Amino acid sequence: MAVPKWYANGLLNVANGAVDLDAATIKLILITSTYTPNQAVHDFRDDLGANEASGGTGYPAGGFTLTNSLSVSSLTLNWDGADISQAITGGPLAFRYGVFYKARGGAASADELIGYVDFGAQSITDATLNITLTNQLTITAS
Amino acid sequence: MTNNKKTAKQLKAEFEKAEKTAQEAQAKADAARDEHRDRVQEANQKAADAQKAWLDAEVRESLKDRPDGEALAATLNLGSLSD
Repeated sequence: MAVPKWYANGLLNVANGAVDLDAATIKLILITSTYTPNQAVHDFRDDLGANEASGGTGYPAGGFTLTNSLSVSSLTLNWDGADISQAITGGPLAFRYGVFYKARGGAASADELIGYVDFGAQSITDATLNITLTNQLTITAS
Repeated sequence: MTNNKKTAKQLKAEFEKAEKTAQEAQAKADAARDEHRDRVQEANQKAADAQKAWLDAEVRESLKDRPDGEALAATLNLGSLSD
């Protein structure tokens, strides 16, 4: 899987404790190719605009709820989310990006963006959506 | 009161008292954070499991009226639609 990237403010929020990667409710929302990520500027979910993927049955609006864990290997801090395997019927469910954000349960403007991954153009119809989340967002000491 | 009227010993004692207060506050915050983390992790696991169950049920329902529903359910590892 492509290597996810941090949003700059996502990294800030992790550092100052606003987003606890070990415990926050984090979702992975699928976004279409009409969205253009801006790592330096985008900070809350409303910056994603009306670009969430839709189509078929099996994808939940707002994204998949993840279970998360943090670990350290050598000099690298790794954040892992549980893998996703979800049947999708009908469709197509078309998307390009997956965006990790802290879900607060209210307005999109309150949900902090953390990072995103570019899957390339994807289109799923009557198939299983599999997303492997292993050692996703990382910070390496030097 | 200005500090220059206190002895170094008195100022050190004040520092040590203030530092102890700060460390005790930090310890309480750390304990609360650990408890909070455990609760949220457990809740997140339940939420993820519940979401998966809900989505699978919706997918199964979406297949019931399709002529290829049973075959597709098997392909997607959803079991039999008649279960």
